[in-house]
Amino acid sequence: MREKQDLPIGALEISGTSFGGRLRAFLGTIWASRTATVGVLLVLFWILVVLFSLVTTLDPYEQDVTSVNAGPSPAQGHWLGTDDLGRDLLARVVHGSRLVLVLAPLSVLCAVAVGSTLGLVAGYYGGVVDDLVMRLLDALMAFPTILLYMIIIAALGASPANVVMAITIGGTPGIARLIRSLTIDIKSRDYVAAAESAGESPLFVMFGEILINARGPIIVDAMLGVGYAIFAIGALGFLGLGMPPPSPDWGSMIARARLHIWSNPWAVVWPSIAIASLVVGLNLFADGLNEESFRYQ
Amino acid sequence: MAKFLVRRFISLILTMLLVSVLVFLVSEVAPGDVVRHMLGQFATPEQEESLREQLGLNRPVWVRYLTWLIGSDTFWAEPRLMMPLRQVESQETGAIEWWAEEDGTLIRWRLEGDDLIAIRRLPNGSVEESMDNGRWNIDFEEEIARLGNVRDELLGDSLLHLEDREMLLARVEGLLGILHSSNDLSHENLVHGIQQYEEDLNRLVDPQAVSQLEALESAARTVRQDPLIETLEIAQRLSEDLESYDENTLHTLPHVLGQAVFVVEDGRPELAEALRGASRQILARNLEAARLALQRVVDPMSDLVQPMVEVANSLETGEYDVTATQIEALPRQEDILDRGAVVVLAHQLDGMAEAVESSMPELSQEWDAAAENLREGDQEGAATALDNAAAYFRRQGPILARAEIVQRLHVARYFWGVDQQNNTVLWETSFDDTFWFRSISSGHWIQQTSRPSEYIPLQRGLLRGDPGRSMRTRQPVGEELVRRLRNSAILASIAFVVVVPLSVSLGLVAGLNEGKPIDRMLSVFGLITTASPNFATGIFLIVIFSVWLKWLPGATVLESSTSVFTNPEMLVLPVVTLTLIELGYVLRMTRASMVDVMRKPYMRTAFLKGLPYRRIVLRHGLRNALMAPITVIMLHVNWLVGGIVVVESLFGYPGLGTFLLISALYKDVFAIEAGAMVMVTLAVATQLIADIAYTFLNPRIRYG
Repeated sequence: MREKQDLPIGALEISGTSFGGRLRAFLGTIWASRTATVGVLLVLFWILVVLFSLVTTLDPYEQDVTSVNAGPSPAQGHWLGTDDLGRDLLARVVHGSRLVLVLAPLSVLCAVAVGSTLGLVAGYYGGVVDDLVMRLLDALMAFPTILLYMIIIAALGASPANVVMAITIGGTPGIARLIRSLTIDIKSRDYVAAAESAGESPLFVMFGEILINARGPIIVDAMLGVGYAIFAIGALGFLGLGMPPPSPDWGSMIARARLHIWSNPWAVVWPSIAIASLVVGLNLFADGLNEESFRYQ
Repeated sequence: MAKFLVRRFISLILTMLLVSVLVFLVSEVAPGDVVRHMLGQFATPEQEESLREQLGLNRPVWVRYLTWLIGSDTFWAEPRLMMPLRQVESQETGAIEWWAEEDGTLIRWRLEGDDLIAIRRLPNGSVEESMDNGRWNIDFEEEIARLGNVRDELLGDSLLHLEDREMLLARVEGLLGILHSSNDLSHENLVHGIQQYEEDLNRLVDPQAVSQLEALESAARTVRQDPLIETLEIAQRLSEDLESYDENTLHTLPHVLGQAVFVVEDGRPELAEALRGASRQILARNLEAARLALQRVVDPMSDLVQPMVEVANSLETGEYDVTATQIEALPRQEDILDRGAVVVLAHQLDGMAEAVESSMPELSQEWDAAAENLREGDQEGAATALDNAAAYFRRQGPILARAEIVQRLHVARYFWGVDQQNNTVLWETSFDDTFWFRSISSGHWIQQTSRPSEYIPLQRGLLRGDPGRSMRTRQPVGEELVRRLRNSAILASIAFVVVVPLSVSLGLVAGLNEGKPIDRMLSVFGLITTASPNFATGIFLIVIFSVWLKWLPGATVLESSTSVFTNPEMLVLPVVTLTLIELGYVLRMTRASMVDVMRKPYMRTAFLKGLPYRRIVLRHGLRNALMAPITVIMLHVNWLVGGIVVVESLFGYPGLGTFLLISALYKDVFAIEAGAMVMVTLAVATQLIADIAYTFLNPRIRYG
């Protein structure tokens, strides 16, 4: 999505000692930035929608044969209209949110786990290990991510597990690279040398000392990563590689409704708005956070 | 600088190698392949296998990879062909053709029936065809051994008429004599002599008998595919090993069991009930209970089907006298036979009658009659009909046996040649079984004894400038790729020409007005356009401008290579979409960079020197501020490529993106590889250009 900037270590280190104090300081950072506030509100809205989807009686699969491909008509009970099979668009958008908001963070988590392991190992040990890992990741990076997803999903078929795997593979190189550069920086700090001379195992030094102290930039990067993952899931669906029908996957909804765009553009518009607002929200949030924490320095 | 370039080049080669290996591996481990996609889900496994062979997909993955990389001609094709290969351009179509070269003439072959036809290309470009059977190779030792076995079989044969046996024995001896004298005769004469013998033999075969043999084989198959027998097999296997069944098999099992229930329901209600129970347990995935239920049906079922299984066995081995005895012994007395057995037997007789209906109407009638009489309880009638069927076998058996033996009295031959579809092919005449294959050129299924049995698709390999042929279209990947690349390049360069000046100047404006409303407006606009997914942006544009306002077309249809220029309005929406993807990003970069530069001491100095504002901004500010955006634009090519894939598929634009998408969907490996190589080169090249541009903008940076 965007070039990962190498953030200065401690960019997100917010002063305060108690948990409550730090939380308040964190929220203060968000409210201080108008973009971050808007972003948080958008993301919160979709989280509420996910919660709503757990309790609602709206059925994303029920077909209403009396209104097919209809525009928004509250009178008939279809607030956003229906798709080409007469399924309620509101219900599908609402249920689709759960899919996206579970898969995207999950795959970013996986990517962070794999990427930070690789980045830590490469940065901490250096030398041949570093060269080997980075060459491999460079090759992956030279490959357009969307193409990588296409090949993996076209080869393995679309299922939640495969999508998570594809996004993990696609997201790993960027995160690994970021963490490697952070590791190389942190490695030279006194506390790492202290831990090493105290006889801590390399594993503890890597995960207990270096990773913990690199968390700020990783969090911002992961936030952008979630936005990108949501975009990627949508793009895959849009390219016809989304979850198999009748899943209310937003991307697949767009792909299907595109065929009827002339008779009912609403069916395309709603899921597009859904994806766009969620991704924009996450980006605004990450961006605002980034900007504010820079200002504090 | 030179050292730097060399290092970059080496790293490019390494990256390409790595990516190409990865792509091959990914498409290798994944289930399904291009063949599945091309033939659809209704193709039989044999059909898929045949096409897979023709595409060379049955060869090991490392061979295919090396074929793609360095070509198949030198290492795989020529050693087998034992002739050098030449690649020439066809004079009519301009397509690349592969020919073998022999004494200065170009030559290819094709099969016509069991004959090999040589196609020679004369120096003036015209083509001449001639019979070329002299090239067939014969594995003498193996054929002598095989025919020796046939001779032994003939000596012990009791089915053939005596005179037939003597005559066939004489022919075998004759053939063996020719094969033994292989050292004395010239190869051509040898093959000719063998062919004469074979033609002679073919005259001995009643053409009807050949189709009858096939019909009997299919009758035996019908018996084997009977739901009861299938159920029995499944039950036997399942009672031994539960784990061997995957979800797919378990999914179809109830269906098979259901058919079996349908057959036995009438006569053996208790068996039907047991089968139903097993089916229910399978549906509920209580595999242990299902296993027990199936174990209970094994014995009664094998009693039911055993007689007919034996008949099928003897039909398959061609022991028709045994078949006759078995048919006579088929249980047909109501008193020793319960209703269930009658139903099963009648069902199987029906199936066999249908299988032989067209080529052996007489036998078909008898079996039909027997089945009908059995069902109606007319034992006398059934017995008579079955006796008649047995008599038919006694009568027809020797004729069928002769036909069968004659079919095997051929000498198997093989030849490695070049076919007309640019493959090196092993042609074989094999007389053990007939063979189906789907000809790629015509798309039809062909059945014959002589057939291509191994293919080596010919290509020069990427290192020699040939990215191979698309598995899907069989057209050279290179040509298609060039066409698609050109289309994409048109789209991307128009977008580029629009984006760069626009975004840089907007960024400049924002950067110079830091913190003012116009800056905030532009920044937020940039953030939103960058963040919103490109397909969503494109869809909003289509919905607004082509669906609602009807100003612009929502799809791109290129009828010819110049229609891009004759209908420029088709390009508006794709270009705008691409522009919006990039615009915000470069804008924000330029702005940030400009803000940064404006705070630098040398800018203050410039102001204090009293230089004109214009000059300060353009000469000192912009030049320094552009560094970051230029690298960013260049490094952003990967992201842009993703955008192009989406935009092209959104507007149906025939560019590189849609090419890659289709290739990936079909798992068309060579096409994906070619696309991937272009992508990697593009990514590395842009990075290089970015680095070089950097040195021009910032003289402090030196590479070397």
